[in-house]
Amino acid sequence: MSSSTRNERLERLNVKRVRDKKNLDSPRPIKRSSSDTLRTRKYDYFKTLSPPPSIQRKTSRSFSNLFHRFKNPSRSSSCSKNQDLRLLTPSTVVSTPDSLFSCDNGDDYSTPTSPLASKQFTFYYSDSASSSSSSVNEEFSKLTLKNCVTTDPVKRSLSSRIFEIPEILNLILSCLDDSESRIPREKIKNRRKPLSLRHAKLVHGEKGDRIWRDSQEMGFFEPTVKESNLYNCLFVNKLWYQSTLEILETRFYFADERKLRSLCERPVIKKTNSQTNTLVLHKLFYTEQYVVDHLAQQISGCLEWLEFYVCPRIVPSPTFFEGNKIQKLCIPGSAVVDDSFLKSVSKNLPNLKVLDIRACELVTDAGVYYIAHSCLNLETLNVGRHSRGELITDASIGPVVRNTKITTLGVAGCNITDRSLWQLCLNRGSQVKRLSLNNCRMLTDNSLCKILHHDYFPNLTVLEIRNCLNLSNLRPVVLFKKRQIKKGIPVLVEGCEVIDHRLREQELQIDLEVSRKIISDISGWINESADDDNDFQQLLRSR
Amino acid sequence: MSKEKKIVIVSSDNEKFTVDRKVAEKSILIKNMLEDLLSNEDHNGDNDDDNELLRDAAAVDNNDLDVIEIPTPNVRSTVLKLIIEWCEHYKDISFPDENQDEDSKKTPPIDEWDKNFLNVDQEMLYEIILAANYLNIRPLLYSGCKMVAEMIRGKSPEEIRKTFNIVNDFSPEEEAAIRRENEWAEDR
Repeated sequence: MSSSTRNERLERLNVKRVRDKKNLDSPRPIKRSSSDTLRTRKYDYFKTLSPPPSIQRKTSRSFSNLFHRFKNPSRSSSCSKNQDLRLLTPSTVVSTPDSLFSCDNGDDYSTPTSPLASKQFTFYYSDSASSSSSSVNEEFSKLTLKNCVTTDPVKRSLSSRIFEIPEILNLILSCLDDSESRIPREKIKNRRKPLSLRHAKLVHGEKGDRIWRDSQEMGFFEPTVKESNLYNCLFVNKLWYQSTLEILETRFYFADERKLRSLCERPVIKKTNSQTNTLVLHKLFYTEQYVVDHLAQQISGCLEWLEFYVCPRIVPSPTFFEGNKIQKLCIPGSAVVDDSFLKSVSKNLPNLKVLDIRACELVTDAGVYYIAHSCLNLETLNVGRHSRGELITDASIGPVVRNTKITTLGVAGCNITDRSLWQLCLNRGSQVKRLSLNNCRMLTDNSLCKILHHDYFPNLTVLEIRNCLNLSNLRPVVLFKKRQIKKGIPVLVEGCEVIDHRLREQELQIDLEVSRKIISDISGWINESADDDNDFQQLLRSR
Repeated sequence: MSKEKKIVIVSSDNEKFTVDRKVAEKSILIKNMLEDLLSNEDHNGDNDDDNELLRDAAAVDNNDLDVIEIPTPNVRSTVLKLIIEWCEHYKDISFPDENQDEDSKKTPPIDEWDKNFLNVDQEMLYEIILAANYLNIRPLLYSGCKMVAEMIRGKSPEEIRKTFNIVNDFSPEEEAAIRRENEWAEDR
């Protein structure tokens, strides 16, 4: 506020200065010092050329919305005054500082071009600046205000009419919306962190030292401080405010509990249809359920992506599911998500494509079973966990791979057996892209290795088999890797120290076999060719 | 119908630009107009006022029947010339479904050619945007809006108002209320 008043003052000074110079080319304020004839011409222009009705309607509607928002009693007086002002003729308007900003573009086009009105231009800025006691001047200054704004479009008709057309303004502001890059999320890692220095050296060779050191530092995305762009647009004017708010409200993301509370403390605007399609809460360890419930009432209906990333105390309220449009539901690390929650998900979100319930340790086979039988479009499921792995078994993963369109499956630390993997292979084999089997200690050589040997996962690109110590014959894995690379499919196999060691051994052995074969081939060829040479020599000699 | 028709686009100050139909149809407005025209009348244009103009243009072209004249009463010739240059450049490129607003908003950063093309003074940029909006040339409109968005980036509200000549219509109370209610968006 202080900055705005300062700017106003600056502007006024500017006006005075420029008026002296009689410079007609400089921006807005100078226009007011232009000659009467010029002004009259502008008015005529404006009467004949009022904006198309559609635009007029739109702006005035958005303004009334805006006023509606300001229901706070402290402000209501100024608001109602503003609205009243619009009904008054210029000569009866009473001067108050508020009314300086009370003009409504849409309603003043009919202001008469009276001599009184034209005089006002000279008084406008200087008067309010000096807070003159002259009532005549005050009255005049009042009048000018309205005209100031209304005459502006005359010049703006060339300069910034694009900022008065809501559609174009909306388009411009949405180009400014870079929330995609601002939403807090897990750091995208090319590879998992090594498990130890020795492991780092095994995997990365020479660079192992450095990579191990780097991996010891923070592994999560630290939101860099970015300039506020859309936020600043809120304060430009009322139309901008309306348009910007619309864009801001399409995506909500919070990594800061204070800000989330500030959103919830807004006066609740009952909206018929919320435009919000994304809600991401990132590591809000202390946020309580009532905050989320409150939020749900404001923004449910259009949600497509709902994420509570490591927010242990909260679970999405059922209200969020209204509209049934959610496709991506990520609630990793919740301590309260349980089977009954998954049951309500399965009932309400038949179009779910991504479900991430990593480290939700209350979830058991029962919850996943509901999902498997209702969310038939599911493509990604992650139920990986560090403890309580016995709660997820073949009983639920079986139906998931049979019923859904799964391509990415994360069952790290679960008690699944070879049976699930074979079912996955038989039902979804050629579609499977990513598979996380870390810590699935019940897997044996009888599944993964045989499946890979027969090339039943031809499109697999990421395979995680850390701590699957029962896998002893890793030769098919190495061959699979070589095969994928040959086909041009990038492939990543993540192992632990033991697994990587076994993989490395196999690679060496295969390399040895290959080179041995090459040598035997070459020696065979040399011997043969030697024979040929001899024959040739003999042939020459014989001639 | 005959795809060989030449289209004459007339600017507000009555300058005429002759272009291929393919070029003119980058404007969805003109495209729809042409479709209507060509389906309704059997190219024997003798039935309305425009045909007076049409005959004039046709005389130049020596080809009476294959010229259609389209007036664009709110586009100046300098602007129209640029717009047509843009359409010429993109005449062989078909843009993804122009009706899907949501997807188009996520288009990649502004094309390098467009960036150079739109490297004009502010007034001209506004006029191009207005014309693109009127003629319904979505990709050009998006590029223009992106250019303007770049001008907004990193500016304070007051700087934005100055740059674009916009009047602040908030009272200090309203501004304070906005600040209070939208604290959550501070870092957006």
